Amino acid sequence: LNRRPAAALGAVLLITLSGCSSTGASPADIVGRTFAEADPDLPENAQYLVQDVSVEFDQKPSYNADQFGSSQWTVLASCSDEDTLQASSVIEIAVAPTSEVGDQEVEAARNGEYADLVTCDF
Amino acid sequence: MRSKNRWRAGLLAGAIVTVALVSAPLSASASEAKPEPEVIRSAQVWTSYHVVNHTKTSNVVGTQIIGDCTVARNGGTCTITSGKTATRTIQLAFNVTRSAVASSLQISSSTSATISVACTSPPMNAGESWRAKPKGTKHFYKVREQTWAEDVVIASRTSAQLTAFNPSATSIYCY
Repeated sequence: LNRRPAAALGAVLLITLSGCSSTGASPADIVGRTFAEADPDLPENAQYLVQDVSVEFDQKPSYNADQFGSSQWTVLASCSDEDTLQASSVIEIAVAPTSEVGDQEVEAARNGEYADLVTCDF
Repeated sequence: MRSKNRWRAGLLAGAIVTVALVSAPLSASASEAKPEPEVIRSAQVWTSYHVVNHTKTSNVVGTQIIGDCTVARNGGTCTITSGKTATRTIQLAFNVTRSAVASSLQISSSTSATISVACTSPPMNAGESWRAKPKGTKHFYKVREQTWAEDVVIASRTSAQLTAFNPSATSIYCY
């Protein structure tokens, strides 16, 4: 009788843990997120090529390395040299100011409409 | 036991040849002669290596490209951020080991160094590339090999000019 709650709790934990896992995230998974939201899926030892595409929104580029992982920037496109981010050694990300990116742009990004903002020459 | 004695005999004969080549012309019977006590002492032949004529120049840009980003839009920028390893090259000569030369140069013998620095391009035109190369110290040196019998140098030779590149972990060149 006591085993049932434990089994249920175990199942909940399993589902929760697998839902939180970031090991299998692909470059497409972080598109449309803020850089801060994407950050947990980004491996520490990879090289990052971050394209500031503010010009798409008639803004001057202002991104610098100190803003890596900042919520001030939103990921519009991404690619990497391996299928998953964790396995990648080079990751390219196109970012734009979050203040300029609306729901419509986020949706467009997730649909791949900004895919050509990264060149992926690796 | 027998094979061990054979090995010793071979070693002694080899030592006699080595010494005779330097100190006197080798007679036909020299390699067949039974080792005398002084010849046994001369079996203690060993080789040493020294790094000589060592100079170095800092802030040298390496040849390896450690980051390459092609800008996708006119007026866009690209930031190359850390995470890449640069190769630490150490040229060798004769039978000297990489670790021995690295120790003499006072650099790590590891083949790579992790770069932890970033650089951001100015606004560029679509299709233009922003690249990063490591910066570091370039070492110039030669390796001198000396063959010793007891306390006497019986042979010496020096390599041609060699170089090593030791990348800095905190400095890159971007262009």
